[in-house]
Amino acid sequence: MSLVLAADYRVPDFDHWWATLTGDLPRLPNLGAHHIVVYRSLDDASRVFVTIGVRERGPVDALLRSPVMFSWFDSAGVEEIPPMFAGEVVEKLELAGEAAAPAVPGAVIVAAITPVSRLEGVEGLEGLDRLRASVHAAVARLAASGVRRFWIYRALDDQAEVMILLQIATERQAEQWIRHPDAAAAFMAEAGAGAYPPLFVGRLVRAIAVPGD
Amino acid sequence: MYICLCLGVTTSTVQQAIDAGARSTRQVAEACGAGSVCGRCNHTIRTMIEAAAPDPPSGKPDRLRRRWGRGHARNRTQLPREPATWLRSRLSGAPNHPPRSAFQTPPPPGPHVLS
Repeated sequence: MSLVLAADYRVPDFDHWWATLTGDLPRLPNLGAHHIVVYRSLDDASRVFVTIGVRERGPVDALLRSPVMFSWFDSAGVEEIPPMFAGEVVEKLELAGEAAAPAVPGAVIVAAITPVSRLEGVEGLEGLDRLRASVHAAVARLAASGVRRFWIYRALDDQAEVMILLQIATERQAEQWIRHPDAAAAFMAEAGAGAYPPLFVGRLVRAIAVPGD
Repeated sequence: MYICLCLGVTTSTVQQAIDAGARSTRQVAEACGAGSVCGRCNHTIRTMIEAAAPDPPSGKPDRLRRRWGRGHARNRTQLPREPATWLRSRLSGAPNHPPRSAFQTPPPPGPHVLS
């Protein structure tokens, strides 16, 4: 199963970074990276959420301390290395029907990296299992509220830590989702605590296939 | 999450050091090594230390500090300590569009997947 690395951070000059991004791509196969997906915040033009899909999994700590990883942040002008999520997908709910179109640039995304150890909900279950059960029980409501995809990734270093990516049909529905979150979205209350980044609301800028992979 | 990429130190390990009494980045580094190599993760460690600090004497929880810490706003690559400024502006009736420059130039086509 593919490993996914993710980080939520600010780039000092998005346009400059974007223009130079192609220079970083040839180095990424050294990480085993096959896709880079970049999302940009709606409320902070310098804030990005980046996921890196890695096909060949070696020791995660060796991957993270790779010079390629540091170069990735250096070329973006990022001085302070953000916390990195490393995990694997455990749930892919497609709520727009079987023929759901792939996400396209501009798609509205809500992302959270958060602990789930304190979630309330389904009795007898804890953490990730509780989250998954509550989401499955809410599929109809989620679809009705505009959620098109609900993807859950489990952290490799902490079984009670997840990354959640939601694709929501419209910006307005994303607003409603956050303003009146479903019971299945209790995880959002944990976002932003301590080292965890605040809830990310943004748009897909581009998914890039890493050349030479 | 991995806080210190140099040594592969995770959030839970740093938190354990803080829970055991570390109150500075140096003490955290001594306890678990995090931040002891390049030091570029020390801002995150400081945030965790501040989040673990007792509430101020007023008795009112300092919620802003607990969410991303006081130091974050000073760091140019750091995130805002409060999420959803965008939402607040919308709810208050303020202009609700992101900077247009953010999305003026459509990116070239490519494979489109969540990740």
